[in-house]
Amino acid sequence: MLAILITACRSVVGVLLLFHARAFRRQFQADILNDVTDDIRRAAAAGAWPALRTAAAAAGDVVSGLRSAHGTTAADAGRTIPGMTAEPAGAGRARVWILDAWRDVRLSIRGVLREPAFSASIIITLALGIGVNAAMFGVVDRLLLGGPEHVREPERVRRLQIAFQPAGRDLQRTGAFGYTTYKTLQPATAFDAVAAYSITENGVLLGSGIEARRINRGEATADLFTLLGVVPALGRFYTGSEDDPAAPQRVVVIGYGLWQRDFAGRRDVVGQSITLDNATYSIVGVAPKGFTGPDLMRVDVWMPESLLGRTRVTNWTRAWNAWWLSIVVRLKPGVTPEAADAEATALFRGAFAGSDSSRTKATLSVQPLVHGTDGVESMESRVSTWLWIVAGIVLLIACANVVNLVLAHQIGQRRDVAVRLAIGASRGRVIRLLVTEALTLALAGGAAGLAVAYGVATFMRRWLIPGVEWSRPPVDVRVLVVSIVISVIAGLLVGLVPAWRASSPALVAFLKSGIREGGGRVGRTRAALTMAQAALSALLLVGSGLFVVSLAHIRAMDLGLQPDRVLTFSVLRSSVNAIADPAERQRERERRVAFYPDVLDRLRQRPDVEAASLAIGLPFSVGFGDDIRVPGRDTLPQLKGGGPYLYVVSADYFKTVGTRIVRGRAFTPGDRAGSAPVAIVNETMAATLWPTEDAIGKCFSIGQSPACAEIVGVAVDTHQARLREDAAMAFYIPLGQEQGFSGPQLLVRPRGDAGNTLTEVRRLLMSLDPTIFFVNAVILQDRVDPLMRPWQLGATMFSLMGVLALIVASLGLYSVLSYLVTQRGHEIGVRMALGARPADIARLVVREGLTLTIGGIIAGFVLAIAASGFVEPLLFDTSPREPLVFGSVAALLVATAALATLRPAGRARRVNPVDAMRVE
Amino acid sequence: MLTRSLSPVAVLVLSSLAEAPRHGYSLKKDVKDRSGGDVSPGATSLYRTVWQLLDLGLIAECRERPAPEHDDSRRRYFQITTTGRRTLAAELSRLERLVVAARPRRHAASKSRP
Repeated sequence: MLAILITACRSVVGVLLLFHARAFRRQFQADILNDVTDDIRRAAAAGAWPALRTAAAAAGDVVSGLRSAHGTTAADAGRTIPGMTAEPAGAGRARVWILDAWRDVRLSIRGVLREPAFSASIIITLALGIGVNAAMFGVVDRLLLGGPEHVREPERVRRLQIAFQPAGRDLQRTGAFGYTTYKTLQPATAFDAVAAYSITENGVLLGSGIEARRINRGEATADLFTLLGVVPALGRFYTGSEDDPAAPQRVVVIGYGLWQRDFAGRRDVVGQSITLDNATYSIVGVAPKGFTGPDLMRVDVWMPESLLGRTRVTNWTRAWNAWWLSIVVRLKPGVTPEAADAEATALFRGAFAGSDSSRTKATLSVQPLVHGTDGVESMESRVSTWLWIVAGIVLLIACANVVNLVLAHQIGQRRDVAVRLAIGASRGRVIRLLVTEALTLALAGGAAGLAVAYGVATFMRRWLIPGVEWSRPPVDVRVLVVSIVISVIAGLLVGLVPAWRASSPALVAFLKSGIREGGGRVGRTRAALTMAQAALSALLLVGSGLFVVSLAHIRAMDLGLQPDRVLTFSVLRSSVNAIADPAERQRERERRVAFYPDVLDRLRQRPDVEAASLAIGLPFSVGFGDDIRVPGRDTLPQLKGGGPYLYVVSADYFKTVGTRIVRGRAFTPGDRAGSAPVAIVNETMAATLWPTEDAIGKCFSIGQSPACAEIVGVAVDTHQARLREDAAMAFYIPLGQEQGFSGPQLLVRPRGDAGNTLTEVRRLLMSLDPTIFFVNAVILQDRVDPLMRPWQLGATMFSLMGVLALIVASLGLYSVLSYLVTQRGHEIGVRMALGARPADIARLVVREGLTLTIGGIIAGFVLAIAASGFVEPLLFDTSPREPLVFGSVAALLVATAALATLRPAGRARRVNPVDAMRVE
Repeated sequence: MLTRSLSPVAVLVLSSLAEAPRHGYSLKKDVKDRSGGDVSPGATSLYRTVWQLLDLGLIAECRERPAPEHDDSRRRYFQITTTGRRTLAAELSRLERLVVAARPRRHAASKSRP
């Protein structure tokens, strides 16, 4: 143990000694090491702890030996003064240059270690700026630049997008297609391959019984894997013959994470069976780590499309009215996107046989792979890009701060530099030394920034963008490289300007004459930098204020119903089509239909249930629409929000979900199958179809049914599926009067704790019917929350960086004012001697600080207003010029600035005029 | 002659070497003992002082080694030079004068300080 300690200490001391002058090392390194060894041995006799202390003290002593600037003699300086060594000719030049550079690095590190407080503040400031930039790069890299993993030549892989214009509505751009489109594009000459897929979060149930859980399912045509060029980790992917719509095989490929977690990474998993939605499948392979298909969400299992297409719609291979797949293509080499667009569009239009007339004139286009599934950049990507820009601004503030600190600090150092220049060092040499010092600080800041980057990135991944499979660690090689690059740029930025100024030849004259620094007010450069910091901080804080207000608006938005008080339940049973005997099949169907009313009765009697109902179609969950015919109207107006949407609901629906009836009545148990057809419309529908009359009493026909359903009530508008929607028509009909719809969900409004009731009701359902193997129970709010994420992302990160910027800028202001007081002590002394009171001096300092800040605020607000056009699409119901935000930001900045001026002002008051005026 | 004063460590090193030549490790120990523990330099600080004094010509490395049984072959021995002795004497007397000057004076007029 002792030997290890001694060896370790000797190594550390040896390394630290490198920063001492070489001549000193040559003469005394051996002695120092021997002494240290002896000391440790001696101390070890008294115990391990004294030995450790001695070792630490020895290392510390080497460092403190650097600090003794007074300890260096003229001869010592002569050994290291730049420009004093004779320049050898020719090839020796390079060697000398390297030696000089190495000496510069050592001198820089000495300089840094010599002033720990100053260096630490610079390093921390830069670490914050570089760290957030590195973190944001990592996020943007994953979302936008890198794209999904395991894709061969990703620049040739594109997503398909369709653009069409329904009557009366905006141009729609989506990435949703049917199997028919996929087949139609197969013969295209522009593509090497075409594939279709769809990924559903929590789309399938794994396992059975208590331990069953929902996992993410990917369904894909077999050619997806060959198109992407992905190699399985184990086994193989399923083939086209296994994905045959006529005879699909029950084979699946499991994801890497699932393999590790549920199969313990066993290599014999190929050929084993897996239970999904209560049916058995055979595993043919394992996907490689980080494979998420063309998207970024984690996929736990890949299943052939032919197994699942039929569950969407009948005749799924020939239907043109169903749109559930995303399509990706691989362009042939040399094919331009425009040519691909043209051919795809032509093929589609030629084959389209659907009933949606607006699609007959649709255009298809190929979009970059990194866009979201709709072919446009996802909100997360756009917000993240903005955040990276913001992080860049924070770095600028940090650099401005550091430049200020360095400039102020250099006032004290000028003597040193002047001496060097006077002894004959070239200006370039001195600049090189100062820039090296700045680079050293910046790289140290970058290294510390990696820790900041790790923290920020981990926070963002976990809380703000959870839907993405981050296959790489928060700080990987790419982030590291970017960090280094940013550090070098920051170092050059921070080093060049002060170095240039500090080494000007006028300096020598200044030194000789002994004039004091600070003839005018705060140096112009430093004033400009401080104001710039204030301006940029103001800009960031305005941004964060706008996002916070947006988020508040979203949270406060009236959706028309109360998702946090609505529990939804849908039951999974094995398919009724599995029953061979037709009579028995019919009995089972009837039993299943009768199941729900029985359940409703039981639920209503429970104390923890306030209301319960059934619904086919539910906002934010699943939506249906149908054609309607209104007597007296030839055509229906088409609204931007689409529709008319249809909800089939039982009597207590409106009470259960909290949608208010504004006129007329809700449904009663008397409205059911066989009774007079009735309907309830939403306010938009009433106002659109019967603008001048009361809708109650009017009627309309639905779908194919000839009967005219009478309107008995008008309900408030609700959102259909998104937070930001245009108004749409929607109507409700009683359960039992629908035609062609099935599969109701059970809705429960709990009294009291929602989570408890959720569990209880689920248990009740499973106990009432043993053929149910899983109950999918979800609080409706859980379907709404993910929609808020982009704004949450923006609000949180903007605010974080705004606060960061504020801290850095106010520290900058504080340091500038502090140095101001220190240097202008002479002037302060004069003023006091001439009769100024301490309060006046303090006021002077405060005024200076506030002037800089307010100037900066004004500049920052101008920038914010100029940029308002860019930011507007990212906000929600918020004007980018919201006065409340601007006012609050101004107040915050002024208050912070006032706080920053307190201590310097206090010091200014206490300046002793006599001391201040003494000539040095 | 020196244009600036010696550090306390330097003074103590010179004093120690004025008594007898020493090597680095025993020099360190001697300085600590003399000052009663007040001045206790680490290895690097000590050798930097030694280096400085060597440069100024106040000490020099020893040619002769002590008798083998007292010799530590790894170590280098230092001794004070004539210049060193003169400088030490001058410095000590300067310090003495400073101490005397700093003591409070015994005259009654000392009450009124500027």
